[in-house]
Amino acid sequence: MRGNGNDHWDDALYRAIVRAIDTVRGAVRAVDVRRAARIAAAAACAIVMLGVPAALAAAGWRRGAADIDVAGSAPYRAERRRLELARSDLGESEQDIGLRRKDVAKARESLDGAKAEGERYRAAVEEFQTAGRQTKAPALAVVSIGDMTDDYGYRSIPITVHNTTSNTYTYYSIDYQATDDDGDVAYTGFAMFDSASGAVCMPDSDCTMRILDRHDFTGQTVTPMSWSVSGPGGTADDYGRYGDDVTARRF
Amino acid sequence: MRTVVVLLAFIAACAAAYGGAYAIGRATADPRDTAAYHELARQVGDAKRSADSNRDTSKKLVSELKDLRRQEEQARRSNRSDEDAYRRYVPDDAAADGTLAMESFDVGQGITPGDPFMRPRIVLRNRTGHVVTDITVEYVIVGDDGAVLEDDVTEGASNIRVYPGRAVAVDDLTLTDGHDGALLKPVKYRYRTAQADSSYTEKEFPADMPTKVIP
Repeated sequence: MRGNGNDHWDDALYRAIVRAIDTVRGAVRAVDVRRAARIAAAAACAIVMLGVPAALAAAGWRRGAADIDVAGSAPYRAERRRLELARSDLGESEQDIGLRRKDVAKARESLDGAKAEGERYRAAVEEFQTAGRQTKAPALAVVSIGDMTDDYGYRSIPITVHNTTSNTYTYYSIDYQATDDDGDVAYTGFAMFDSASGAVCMPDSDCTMRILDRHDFTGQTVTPMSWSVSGPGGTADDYGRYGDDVTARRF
Repeated sequence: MRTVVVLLAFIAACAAAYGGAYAIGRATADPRDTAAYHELARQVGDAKRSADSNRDTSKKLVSELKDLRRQEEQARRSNRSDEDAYRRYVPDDAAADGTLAMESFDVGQGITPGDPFMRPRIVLRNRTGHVVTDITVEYVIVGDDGAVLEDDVTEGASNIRVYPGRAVAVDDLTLTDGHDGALLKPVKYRYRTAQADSSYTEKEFPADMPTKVIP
C-alpha cells in the first residue's frame, strides 16, 4: 500500500480538482437568468429603499433650511441694527452737507457783496478823481486870491490870474463855488475881468479879475472851478475846468 | 402581511428621514446665507458707502468754505484802502436814491426893490451817489387862485463839484416877469454828474413842495 501511497494522494488531488470543477460548474449553472433577475430586483429595491428616503431627507433638509425665521435670527437682527446705525449716520452726513452747502452759499453771497462794495468804492473814487482833474492846461492859471473888502454893500474879492497863452483876451471869466466847512456848496458865481486892468489880458502876463457880489463869503472857501476866455472878435475862444488842486481861499 | 409591514416601515422611514432632515436643516441653516440677509447686508453697504461719499463732499465743502472766506477777507482788506480813498471825498455815508432833495427854499429880492428880479435860493442835498456838476431848477409862478401864471422860470448852477451827501445852494438872479406878490413853486430839476458821458437827468420835485411869495 505504501507503494500506493502516492496513488492515494493522487486520487485525493484528483477528486478535489473534480469537485472544484463541479463546484465551478455548479456555480456557473447557478448563474441563471432568474437568479440574476432576483439579484437585480434586490439591488433596485435597495436603491429605492435608500434613495427615496435620501431624496426625501435632502428635500426635507432644504425645506427646513428655507423655513428658518431669518428676520428673527440674531445675525439678521444685528445686521438690521447695523443698517439703522448706517442709515442714521447717512442722515447725519446728509444734514451736514445741507448745512455746509448753505454756509458755502452764504459765504459766496458775502464774497460777492464784498466784491461789489469794492467795485462801488473804486468806481466812485474814479469818478471823484475825474471830476477833480483839470480838463486841459488852463489858459488862466490862478496866481492868488486877495482879501475880501466891502464895496457899497457888495463884497469884492480880487483874483490874480496868469495868461499862460500867447493870445490876447478881451473877455475872460472864472466860475467859482463857495464851500462851507461841511463841504456843502453855499454859493456859486463868477469873477469877471476887472475894469482897472483895462479889460484886456495880454499874453504871458498877470491880469486881475474880481468877484463882486452881495453874498458874504465869511467862513467859506472860494474855489475857482472853470475858466472861459475869448480874444478880439471871438478868436481864441476856449474854456476848461480847473483841477481840485487849484489855488483856493477861505475867508 | 409581511409586505404590508415592510411597506409601512418604509413609509415610516421616509417620513422619519424627511422629518429628521427638516429638523436638522432648520436647526443648522445659517440665516446669513439667505437672500433676505444678503439684501440687508447690501443695504448696509450702500448706506455706508453713501455716508462715506457724503463725508468726502462735506470735506470738500469745508475747504471751499475756507477758500471763500479767505477770498472775502482779501476782498475786504483791499476794500479798506478803496474805502479810505472814498472817505476822503465822502466822509459820511450818504443816502443815494438818485434825487436832489430840497433842504430849504426861499425867495429873496433882486438887486434893488422894484426891479424885475428875484433871487430864489433853493438848497438841494445830493443824493445821486455821484458828483453833481450842473443843476437847473424849474419853477412855476402861481396866482392866488392856484392858476399857473408862468411855467418857464429857471435858474441854475453850472461848473460845480458837489460830492455825494453834500448840499448845494442854487441861488441866482431870476426875472419875475412882473408877478410880484404871486407864488413861486419849484417843480422840476435837471442835473448832470461827473460820470463818463453823463447826460441830464430830469426829475420832478415832490408834489408837496412849499411855495414862497415873490417879493
